[in-house]
Amino acid sequence: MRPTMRSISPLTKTFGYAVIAFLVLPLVVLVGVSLNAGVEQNFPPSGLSLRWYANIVNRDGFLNAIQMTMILAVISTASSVFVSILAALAIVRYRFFGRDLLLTAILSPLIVPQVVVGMAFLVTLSAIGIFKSMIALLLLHSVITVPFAARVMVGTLTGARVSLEEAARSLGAPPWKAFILITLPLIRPGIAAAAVFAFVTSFENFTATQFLVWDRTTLPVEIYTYVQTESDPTGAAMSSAIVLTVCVVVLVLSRVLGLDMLTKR
Amino acid sequence: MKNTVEIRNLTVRYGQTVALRDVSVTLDASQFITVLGPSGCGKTTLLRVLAGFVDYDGHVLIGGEAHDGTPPHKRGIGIVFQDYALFPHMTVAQNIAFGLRMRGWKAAAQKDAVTDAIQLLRLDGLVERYPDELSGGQQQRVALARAIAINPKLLLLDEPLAALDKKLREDMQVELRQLQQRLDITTMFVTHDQEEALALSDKIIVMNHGEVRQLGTPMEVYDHPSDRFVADFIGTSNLLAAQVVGREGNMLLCHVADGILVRAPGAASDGADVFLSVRPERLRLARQNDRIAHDNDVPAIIEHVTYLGHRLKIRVRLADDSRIEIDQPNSGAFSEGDAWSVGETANLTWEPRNTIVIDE
Amino acid sequence: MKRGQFWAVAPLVTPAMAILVLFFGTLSVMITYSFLPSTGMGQIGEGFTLENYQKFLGDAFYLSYVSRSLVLSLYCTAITLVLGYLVAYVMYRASPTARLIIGLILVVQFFTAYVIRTYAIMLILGRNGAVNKLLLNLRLIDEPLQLIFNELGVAIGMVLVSIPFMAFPIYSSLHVIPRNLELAAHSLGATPFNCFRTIILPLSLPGIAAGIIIVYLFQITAYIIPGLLGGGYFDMIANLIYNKAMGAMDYPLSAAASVTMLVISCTIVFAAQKLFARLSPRG
Repeated sequence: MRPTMRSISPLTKTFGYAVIAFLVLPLVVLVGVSLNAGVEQNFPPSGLSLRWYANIVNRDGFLNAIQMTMILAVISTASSVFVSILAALAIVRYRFFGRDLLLTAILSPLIVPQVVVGMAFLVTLSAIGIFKSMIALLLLHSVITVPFAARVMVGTLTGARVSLEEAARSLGAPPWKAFILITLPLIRPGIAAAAVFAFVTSFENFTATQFLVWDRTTLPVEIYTYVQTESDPTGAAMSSAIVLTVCVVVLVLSRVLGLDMLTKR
Repeated sequence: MKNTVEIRNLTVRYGQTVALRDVSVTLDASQFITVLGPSGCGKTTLLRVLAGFVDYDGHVLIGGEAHDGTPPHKRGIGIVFQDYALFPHMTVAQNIAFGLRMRGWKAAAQKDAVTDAIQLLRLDGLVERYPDELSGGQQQRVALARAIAINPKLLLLDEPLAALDKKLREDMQVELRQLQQRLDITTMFVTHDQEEALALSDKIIVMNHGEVRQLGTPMEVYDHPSDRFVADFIGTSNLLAAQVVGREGNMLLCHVADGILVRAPGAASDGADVFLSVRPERLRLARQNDRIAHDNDVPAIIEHVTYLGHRLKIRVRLADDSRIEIDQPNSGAFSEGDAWSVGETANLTWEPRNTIVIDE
Repeated sequence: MKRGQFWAVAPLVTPAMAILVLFFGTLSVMITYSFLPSTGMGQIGEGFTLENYQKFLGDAFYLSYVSRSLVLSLYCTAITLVLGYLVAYVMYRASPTARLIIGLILVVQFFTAYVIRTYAIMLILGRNGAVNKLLLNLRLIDEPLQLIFNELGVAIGMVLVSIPFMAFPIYSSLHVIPRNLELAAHSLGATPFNCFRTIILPLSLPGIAAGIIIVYLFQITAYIIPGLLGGGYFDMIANLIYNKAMGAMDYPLSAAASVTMLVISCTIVFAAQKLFARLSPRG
């Protein structure tokens, strides 16, 4: 067969798709296990039932954790997107002393291991005495979400045409009006993407968060302890619920924002 | 003083780079002035200074009023950007009305002004379209309409025709000039295309490396370039190295290419090394039996002939290895078997008064 | 700073600065703690000391956590590289629809918490898990295999979880290779394999470099995967830090271990960037 642009050897293709299948497999098993009629975590499930999903409601731990996780995610997303838009405007539009350093610093939490971040917050906040509190978790999540939002916002604003704002200004719009009327509407997809990444980062954070939880925990921590201590499929049900939600959200977002926006990590 | 623009001692620095060096020019009211130069010469910077987007040292007066420190949104200047900068999320009508909206005009008044602009720029029927539904030429006209809708005291155009193909560009050049004359607005047009500059302008400012090299009418700039850069940048310069050896009346006598004597108008001291420049269309290739007395006359060997349909471009080599380009109309000699052939020797002739003397 | 610009930039940058103060502040406190003596139960004493580092870096027991993290991750990153490249390559060659689906699968992986993905892997590898059930039913084995609560389980988990992190940067690099290059190579007589070796592979090097750094850093500092899939039998360095801090409440020792991990991470990032900058072809 003459080589064409899309040529890939059948062997490579098979192996590749096999790997992709192995990525999907665990989640399929997860959902399957969650549908077990019995208490055993079997796959394929022995009997089908939604009882374990219903059981989630019976577990206060899960319900409280869901609430906690959502509050943290929403607040830290709002704050980090706000911080990031402002910082990205400064970094992209202006030349000032320390600009590159600022950008590196903002992105630096990405290379600091989660466990180190958790440790740092643990010792500092317990020394100050605001350990084991909502504030502590809010502070932590505000910090860890910023690099993800900032990365997207800097990319978005780099691509945003300055000439549009300049045109608006030349036509009589003061700088703030030019930003709100012209730039803001056009960077909406970027803001949405930044918010999505920030939200996911906060929602799923475990390693650092676990240093700061007490009686009240977040969902990932709750699931972690549950699957280590209990052996019924409720943990699987809770997890599956999240996975299915993620799937739906990703499908919707890929429609609205386009897949490109979502993969701009 | 109506909307004359005065620029005095303008210097602009970006960090270590000097983009504009002590520039002083006056743009006369109601004139179409082109700022011409190669990339990086500072022409766009000059435009952005007038627009108010760049910090500078010096003075800028528009219509007699000082504008240093005035922010862009208070300057009342219309700008057409190189990428048109049309607001993608607004219709044509909304784009054009934007400046009026910023000035607080009532909706009815906005609508009237937009209608006028649409008619003036021949955008009928496109009112509700979005920029990405328009062709390049249409986008360009919308950008213009938007800039003039606010009745600006100055119109700035940053290489607005660069993205258009040749035919469209030529049409737009004419339309632009007619529009400018009709509206009687002082206009500054930035371009690197010297043909465009010659075609459109009342005056041309030639710039290089942040400095103004010459300010003059198209004819002045073409026939009497002030230095080698201008001679080279506008049209083909055909520079010949020469040495002044004497005077005859009001003509200089110079030696070129292996000691041939030619005449040129000008004043330079004996013994000075100068450059002589003759425009390609003023040169004539002659055969032995074809020469005119009193014309400058230099032997040349034909290197290359390019057939362009209505013209011929012929490149010749002189005794000192300099290359000269001749541009002559296709009088039909080519097809009659009387054409020039490569390697043939001929005489390069021209009238002495068409020689430009450049002494740097 | 140019005149007037300061007043434009300062308010934009202040919120970010607050975050940075918080972040680097907590890190500084932690670094300070690593030099303070521990008096047990989360308490610290006075005075500068190196005893925590001596304890941590001098004890073979503690060092074994570091070395096993670094070494296992090396193997796992290598395997992840191969598998991740495979996925990225298949995606690169796929039809637009297939590419969309694969992309969606990868994004779903990204957005699903590590805890959940790891737990799902537990369900597959466990004694009653899908793999063992299948092998027993096919009578390929008599007894369930121990694929979990050991180094093997952790390794499998690390690879599976990391594949998307490797695939994405590599795909990004592949994606921007101009199509003409391959056409040109073929017209000059290159076989598909040669084309891959001399054109595609070198040009995807930036993606490979990025992927390796991301994945290796992720794996050496992993907590959840060794935690769930190791079940305590294969704790890695992150688990040690947590246990020492929350269990034994020896903050200074954990701080010292954390600082060590931080230094190792930063070193890896800088060294790898320098190395790959030297190796990769221009353009």
